[in-house]
Order: sequence, then C-alpha cells, then structure tokens
Amino acid sequence: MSPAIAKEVQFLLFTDWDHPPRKSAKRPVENWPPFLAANPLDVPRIKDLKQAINGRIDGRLNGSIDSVDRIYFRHTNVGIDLVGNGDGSWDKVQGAIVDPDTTARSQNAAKLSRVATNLARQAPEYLRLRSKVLICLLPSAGGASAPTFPAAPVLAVKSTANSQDLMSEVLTWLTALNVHIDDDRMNATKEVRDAVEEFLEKKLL
Amino acid sequence: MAADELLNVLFYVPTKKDLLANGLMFLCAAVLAAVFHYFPVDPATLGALVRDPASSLHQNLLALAIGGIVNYAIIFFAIDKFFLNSKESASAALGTTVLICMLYAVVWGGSHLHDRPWTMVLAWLHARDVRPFVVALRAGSILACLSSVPLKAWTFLGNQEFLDFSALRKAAPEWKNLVKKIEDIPHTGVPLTAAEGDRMNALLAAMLAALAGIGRRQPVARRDSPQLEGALRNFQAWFAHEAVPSAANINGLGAGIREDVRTIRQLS
Repeated sequence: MSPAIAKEVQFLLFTDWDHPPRKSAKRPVENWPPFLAANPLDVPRIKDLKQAINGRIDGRLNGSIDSVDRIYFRHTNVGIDLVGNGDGSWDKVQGAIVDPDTTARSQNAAKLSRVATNLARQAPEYLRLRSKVLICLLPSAGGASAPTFPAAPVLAVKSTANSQDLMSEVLTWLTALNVHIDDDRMNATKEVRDAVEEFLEKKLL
Repeated sequence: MAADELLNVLFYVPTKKDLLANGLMFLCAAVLAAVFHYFPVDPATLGALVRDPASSLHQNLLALAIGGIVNYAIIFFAIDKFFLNSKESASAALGTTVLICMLYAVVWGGSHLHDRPWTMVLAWLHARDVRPFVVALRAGSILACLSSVPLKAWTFLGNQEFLDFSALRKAAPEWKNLVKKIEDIPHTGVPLTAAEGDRMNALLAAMLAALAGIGRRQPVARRDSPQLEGALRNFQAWFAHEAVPSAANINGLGAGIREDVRTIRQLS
C-alpha cells in the first residue's frame, strides 16, 4: 500500500513476462518493462511507472484533495496466471495493461476475453456512473493484431505507444476519478454518496 | 511488567471468586479427610504409593517425579485454553504444579507430625536431612493428582469467569501453515488457491472473534491481547489488499507486514 491509509486502484498486468521461455526461475512481474520489446530505448519497468504515476498524482492533486483521501495506482503481483485460477473478484479490479503478444500466444486470447467480460459484468455501479474500466493496450513487438474486446460501454480501451503515453492515459483517468470521488462525497445526492462510499470501502482496498 | 503479570509467568492467577471457591473445596476435602477419614480414593489401596518407609531416596524421587509430571499435565490441560499460547500456559502450569504439590505435602506432613511439627522440621533442616521432605513431597504430589480426578466429577466447574481462547488456539496452527505457504511463494512459485484464500479469511475472523470475547483474562493474556489483535487486524487488511482479484495474486510476505506476522507467530 502507498501510504498506510491510502486507497489504490488495481490494474491487471496481462502479460506472461514472468514466465521466461526457458527453464529459468520465474521473474517478479514488477520488473516487467512493458515497452522494451517494441522499443529497446523504452526501458522503464512497471514498478518505475507505478512510482512515477503516483508521484505525479500527488503533484496534480496537491492542494485540492487531502493526501489521505487520494487514490493511487497499483498493479497485480502476478501476470496472466491470475486468470483461470479461481473466479476472482473482478469487481475490485479497475483496469488492465494488455500485451498483445501475450494475447497471441497459446490459449491467452480466451483468457483475455474472459477477463474483459468479467471486468465489464462486475464493474461497480459507481465506476459505471462516473468513470470506466481502463484498458491500456501496448504496442506489439511481434506484429500481433490488436485483441478484440466485448462491446461494453464501461470498458475504455486506449492504445499506448510508449511509457509516456501509458502514464498519461492512467494519470488522466485516475485524476478524473479522484476529482469525481472527492466532489461526489460532498456534493452528490444521497444515492450517489452511498455508491461512492461503497466503492471506497468495498472495491478499493 | 506489573506484579500480576510477573506472578502470571509462573502461576495461574485465579479470580478472587475462583480462589475462594477452590479454597473452600480444598478446606472441605481436608476436613472430610481429617475428621471423617473420608478420602476420594481409598487410602488402603494407596498406602504404599503415598508413603512406603522401605523406599529408598531414589524410589521416593521417582514417585515424586511421576506425581509431579501427572499433576503438571492435569494443570496444563486445565488452564491452557485461558492463555494465548502454550508457552505462557506451560510456564504458568509449572509454578502452579509446584505450589499445589507443596500445599498437599504440607497438609500431609502436618497430619503425620502430631507433636511440635516445627521442632522436627527445624531438626531435619539442621541435620541437612532431605529425606523427610522428599517423602512429604512424594505423598503430596500423589495425593494432589489422585484427588484432583474425583474432584473434577463434583459439580463445581471452576474458572467460569475466564475467557476461553480455544477458538484462537485451534485456528492459530492452520493460520501459521498458510502464512508459511505465503512466505515460501517466492521460492516455490506455488500460489494460494481460492479455497486457501477463503480459509485464511475464515481463520482471521475466528481468531479476531475469539480475542473480542467477553470475560476475564489472565494478566499476560490481558497484556498481549491488544497487541495480537492489532497485528491480526493489520494482517487482515494486508491480506484483503493483496488478494485482489484472488488469493493467487499474493506473492509472498511484503516487508510492511513481516513485523505483524512475527508478532502473531510469537503470541498465538
């Protein structure tokens, strides 16, 4: 957790990077450089991007939203192994970073389809009302075609060409979510206030 | 450390009500034995076991050791559930066993030294003769464990005001196994299953419910309960945070939770 009492959105890392092709040990997915395969100069690892995103969130929200009320970014600790390992509470996942080359391998297209369907079906009411589930699509290094997603208004699929793009998309989305939540907690109707409190208490952990 | 906590390191600390009830029971049993010659177990069958003038010092010590071990086991299993962990109850049972054996030995010794008992005791001390003390302790330890069994069958149950931590004690070993599995994930690569994730949530709920129970607590349990509860709540929050979207997302123990895990392992 970022600060002990801060809330965080959870993004699924749809990658098999933590499964090296040969019989070497598993790699921690936090060291995954999402754009390195497509662009050898784009080296930041996902944990570096997480740190940068959360740092910029602090910069953007400083003075407008108290630090204890801010919502930060985090990602899953595991890659595609999370999919198919039990049903999972996909209502507690607010986004995904999808590697099309992973999707093109093996049975992974079916896994992505299942994840996208679950994210769309289980998205909390408040997220439907004020935001969307953000899916960031990475560039393909191997020429894989872009995966298809179910037609669901709650899913916002964004193509990101490099680390800056990814940070920009996540920052824009997360800043808007922070602002909506802060505003709704004070000014919205009781129904929306209840929805936002439920979202904060039960969906963001 | 407060005085009662210090005392609790070596002794089980009853409430005043329990102490009074147990004291009255002991007194009644002693009066029944002394005045009416009633014993819960027939002394005729115990005669040689309680006191055998032909026994050597080694035989007396062996009988004392056996009586002590049996008494310790009886006391340990009677009080264990009132403590947060076996280490604390084992320690408290030790002093309690010695105290009870000595109490019975004093009563038995008093009934066998009719004339000027203190003069005789002082004479033995002066002569550095340990045998009479070993004989008295042997008789005390045997009588203590044999009389505690029939006393259990009487209607007095005792210790009814103390909080029973059985649910916590039952859940703790399973919690420790699951935490060990979580700790080993970086090496084994074997994630928690969904069923294990559900089980962990159930165990945490049971442990916290046990700690929140109403009743008096042994001083050391009273001292350690808030610390254990705090660590369990931190772990519960950490687990809920990490197990998203499922328990398979947990990839070992994070640095921020290790101290709480150490606390729970130590206190439960």
